[in-house]
Amino acid sequence: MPSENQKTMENVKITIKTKKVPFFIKKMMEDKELVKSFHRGEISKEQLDAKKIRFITPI
Amino acid sequence: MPKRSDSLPRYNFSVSDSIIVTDSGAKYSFDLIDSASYFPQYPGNIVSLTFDLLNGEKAPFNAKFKNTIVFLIESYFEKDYSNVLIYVCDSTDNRHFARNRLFQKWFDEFNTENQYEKYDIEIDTDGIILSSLIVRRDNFFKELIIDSYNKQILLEK
Repeated sequence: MPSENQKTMENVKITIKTKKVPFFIKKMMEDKELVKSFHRGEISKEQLDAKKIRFITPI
Repeated sequence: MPKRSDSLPRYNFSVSDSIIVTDSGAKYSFDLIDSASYFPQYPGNIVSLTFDLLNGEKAPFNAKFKNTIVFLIESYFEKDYSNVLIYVCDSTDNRHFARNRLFQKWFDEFNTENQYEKYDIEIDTDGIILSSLIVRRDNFFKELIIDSYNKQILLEK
């Protein structure tokens, strides 16, 4: 459960103590590593697609 | 409404390659990874931000680099009021606290009109994980994603 909750107008900070890394954080970190590997030419676009990694363009 | 970052000097960004090229020739990847599948209850886009030095000298981020990153993030938020951005500070080199402070500084600098809200989560496992979620203040669904984000933090699989 949150042990700290400091609220200002635009910023909220919460600290959570948990024994395991949350699932979505673990998956996001894995996705990031795969994307880095792709940009460095270590894996192909097809391998990224196979992992169902998609991008949203900012512009 | 024009973005504050519109008028500031920035580096070129190749949309097709997702690459930022600095004046010194260093290349950085910049990606918004679709992460909506981790929050199936949310109806809009959710992305995970990542950028990484691909080649060239590693150097402290200058104002032009900061403006480029902020411009790309603001452009993403401009596309749809319901867009959400999440980032996890890379901790592989133990510099996650420094990264977190830097992002906070950039956020404070550009959020002068309080158009965005930022939710910071510090997850205390064996090491500390720092993650933040940014939404537009006028996001009609923000309570939904914040609630979902908090719930997902406690979900282990």
